[in-house]
Amino acid sequence: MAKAYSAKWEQAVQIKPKTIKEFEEDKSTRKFEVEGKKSKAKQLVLFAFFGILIGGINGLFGAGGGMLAVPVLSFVGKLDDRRAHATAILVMLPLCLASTVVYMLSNTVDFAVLIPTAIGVFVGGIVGAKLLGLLNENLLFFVFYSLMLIAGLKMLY
Amino acid sequence: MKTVFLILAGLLGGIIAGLGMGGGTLTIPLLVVGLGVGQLTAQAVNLIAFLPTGSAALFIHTKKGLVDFKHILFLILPAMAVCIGTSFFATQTDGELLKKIYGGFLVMVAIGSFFAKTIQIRKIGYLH
Repeated sequence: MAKAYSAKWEQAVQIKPKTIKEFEEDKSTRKFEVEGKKSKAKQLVLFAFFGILIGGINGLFGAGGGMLAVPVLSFVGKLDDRRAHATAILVMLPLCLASTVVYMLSNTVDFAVLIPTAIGVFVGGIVGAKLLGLLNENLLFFVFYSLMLIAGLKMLY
Repeated sequence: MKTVFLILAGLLGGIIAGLGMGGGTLTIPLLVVGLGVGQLTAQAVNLIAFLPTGSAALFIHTKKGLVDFKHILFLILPAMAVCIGTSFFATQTDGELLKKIYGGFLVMVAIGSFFAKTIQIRKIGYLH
């Protein structure tokens, strides 16, 4: 009788610290979950906000959405550089498809311009992907954005 | 002859796109400023030219497992809705006005990028 009682007691003592520990663990994981949910909600709101911006620019200009999508995916979506670039294409494709339909409906497509340009872009895309990492990044940056600045000024005036 | 220049413009834009720098942004001014194509036509051409190249790139990247599908619809759906609206707006707008707005956009992006690069260099202390 006494033996059985002490065994029960021991069991109770053993259980007690375990449950406290479990309780603490449970609390901390729950706290973590709440924080995770908060940051996830923030990410989704930011995604929607920048989505509006990306879509707006891409529809208006027929370009430029990808330049914004890559930093958004890397900073808000927390993707590394390669994944951000790859995922940006997934974002851009449906946008360009939708825009294409709208542009085609209003007859702004000139096939004499489209076909040679599209061939150039396709071949150039393959060449560019092969050149990736072989060119000096800083020089490329300087040349690209200088060209962009000059082109922009020329279009303004 | 014009066809050759069009191919070259596409080639240059495609190379920059392949390098992941936003090739379409440069294809349009190459067509408009360099070859005298109308602004709206250049935009439409650039959009359509992206479709086959983008699909091929997306296919390759997906196969390599580099495309992240998590929560991406939260980005794509609002973007799609607004994109259709602004596309309509663009097709109804005068090309000359659109050209000027686009020029302003390019100047802003270029200056912003130079600015961001300067900050980055200051932060880490060197060009890498």
